[in-house]
Amino acid sequence: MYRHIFRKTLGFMLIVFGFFTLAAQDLKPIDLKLPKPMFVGTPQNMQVPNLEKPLGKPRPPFLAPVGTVNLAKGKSVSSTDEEPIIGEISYITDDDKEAAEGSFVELGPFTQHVTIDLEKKSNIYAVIIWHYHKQPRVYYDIIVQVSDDPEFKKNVTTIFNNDQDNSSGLGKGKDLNYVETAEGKLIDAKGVQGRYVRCYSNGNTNNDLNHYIEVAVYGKTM
Amino acid sequence: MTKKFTLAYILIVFIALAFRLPGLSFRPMHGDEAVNAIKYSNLLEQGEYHYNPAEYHGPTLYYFTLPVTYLASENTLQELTEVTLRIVPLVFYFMLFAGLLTIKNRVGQVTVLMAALLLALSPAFVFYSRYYIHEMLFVCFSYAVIFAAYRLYQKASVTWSVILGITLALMMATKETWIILFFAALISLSLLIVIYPQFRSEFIVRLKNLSPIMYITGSLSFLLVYVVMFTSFMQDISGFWDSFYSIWNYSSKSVENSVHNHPWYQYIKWLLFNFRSGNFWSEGIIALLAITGVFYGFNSKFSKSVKLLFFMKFMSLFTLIALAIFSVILYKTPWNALSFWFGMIILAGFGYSALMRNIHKLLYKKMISGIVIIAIIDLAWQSYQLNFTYNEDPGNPYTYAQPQKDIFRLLNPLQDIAQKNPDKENIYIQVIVENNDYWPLPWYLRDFSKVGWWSNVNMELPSADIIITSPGMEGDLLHKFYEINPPGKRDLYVPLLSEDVNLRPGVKINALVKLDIYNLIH
Repeated sequence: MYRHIFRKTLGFMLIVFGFFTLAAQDLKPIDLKLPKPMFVGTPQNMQVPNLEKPLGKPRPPFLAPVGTVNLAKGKSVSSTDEEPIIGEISYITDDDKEAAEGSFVELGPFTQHVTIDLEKKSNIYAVIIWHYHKQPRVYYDIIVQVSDDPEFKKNVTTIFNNDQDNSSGLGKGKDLNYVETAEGKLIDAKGVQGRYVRCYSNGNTNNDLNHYIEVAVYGKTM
Repeated sequence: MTKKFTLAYILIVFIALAFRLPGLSFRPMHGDEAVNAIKYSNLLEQGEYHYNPAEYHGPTLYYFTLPVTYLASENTLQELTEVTLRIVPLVFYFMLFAGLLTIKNRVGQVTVLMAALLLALSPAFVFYSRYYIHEMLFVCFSYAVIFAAYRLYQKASVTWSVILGITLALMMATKETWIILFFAALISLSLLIVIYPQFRSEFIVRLKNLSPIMYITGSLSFLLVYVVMFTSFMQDISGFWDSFYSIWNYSSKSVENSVHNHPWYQYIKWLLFNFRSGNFWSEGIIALLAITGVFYGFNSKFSKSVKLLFFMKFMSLFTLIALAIFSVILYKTPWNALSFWFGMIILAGFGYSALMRNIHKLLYKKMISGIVIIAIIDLAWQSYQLNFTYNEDPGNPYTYAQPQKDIFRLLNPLQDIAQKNPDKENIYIQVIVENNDYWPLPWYLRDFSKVGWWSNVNMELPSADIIITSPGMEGDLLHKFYEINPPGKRDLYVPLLSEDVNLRPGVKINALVKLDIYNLIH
């Protein structure tokens, strides 16, 4: 009995002691040590000629016939660089548009292209391309073509070309250069018909390499 | 010095002032200016400076800012202003006018007057003399070395050997590109010695005129200034050894792959052939007169003064070799051009003077002078346009990664929030931009005491009341706001502005603010 009373009294005293200890501590906000700005060197100068003026706000949605889907999702992709330095060519149609590690493929320098096989001839209304967009960059000589011919030798329709000096040898383009953003570059395909979509690029403002995060082809199979 | 010359020179200096003093704070601070300002504030507030051999150049800019801020009674980062800081490069720019006077007796009054006028009106010099970076100090000290060496060569004296020692140390303590100018001078001198026996003989005689006391005083003054500068007045001895590592660091930089790699002709393009935004910008009159100066400098039949011609031969070789070395180096930024452009201006002054002396027909003299005057008026117009109308325009050859005035569209509402918020400027702000690409924001947010700076979203830290960020970060932020934070602790954030702000061409930012903060100003 005495042992029981002793335990209870001890427990009570511990509780009371703990209460006063807590009350005796001054509570104050946690002192947040904020990191200082990191000094950097002179930033890159973005002085690309014929640069598209940015919208400054989110791009409005585009209109397309009912039933339009991303036909490129999960489809096979081939490239002029079959052994990319970073990533896999299959990333281009995996529906992952983030610019994180593991989401983009890095192809070799100078003019390279990737070709998506939609497997069936389709009406194509829009193509959206995401190159590496985690930093402000302009990719050069963006040319997008649609064809039935996997070799792109006949029945080729060019739906976008900003190679203004024809340095990639596919003809002078009139479209403007643009800064990559997380929204991707929306290209109006005007309902062109084809089975294969080919995207060219020729380096960027940071280096000579080529990068793709995703290519989406919006259309309907015929 | 004749009275006419003095009056003309003073008038030119006033013209230079008129182009430089007004609107010193109009152009937004460049990222490099903001970095220099924040680094300077460490020296100002804590008396600390440590030389970094990898980046940010030498200590002279910071130490020579101290007396200016002392006179302006600015003692903290918050008290600093763009005007006070930009006065520092201006002071060293105006010292170039004093430098020209030291060679007047050799090169003549007309040369100095024309060079001074071109220096006053050159758009590149107007633009960068109002930039809080090392360039103007570097040009001032580099040419002070040349002028001091030349005066020592003309008449050996302890005074000029000490001045040479001091200016050489200051040049090396300003920018690591001193080595380019050093080699350009060495090669030029060597070529003159090898090619011209007359110069070689005289050079040897002049060297013998230097007494041991001149070598000693010159060397000691050099060592003293060099050590004091790099060791931060003996506070950091490692800075002295780091000054040698910097040569290796900067040499590597000049050949590495960099976002600042440009083709060999880029300096010529920036200075002479710039057609952007429907305008044609060119300082061609300086180049044309400089070519004329080189021509006359190497043709002794046009002048009886052998000593003048040797000086002009040296300036021609030095300027052209410096241009060649800078052009070969892949890494280029437009302000580097000033190092050889001042040499071109001196040659241009000489070229005009030689033209006037060697053309005897009055009609031709008047025609050429008329053309030169028209070209100089055009130069003045370009200076005005490039420095006041287009001072942030990407089409301006001298803007390079220049922040835009659009930045104030973000800063003004932040100031409003600070005024209406109970914590005032103690409101908690996070700045999260990839690759730490948020400059010059640290300068513009200097009044806010609780700002943290990140290059990625830290999922563990509590989110701030205001988050300044770039579009690429929004995915991670949304994940943090609405998936990491537990239910009931998910604050609603709204964009402060309906349109992103152009920090600089190609770089966008916006601010996300807690709804209750947003409602303070709406």
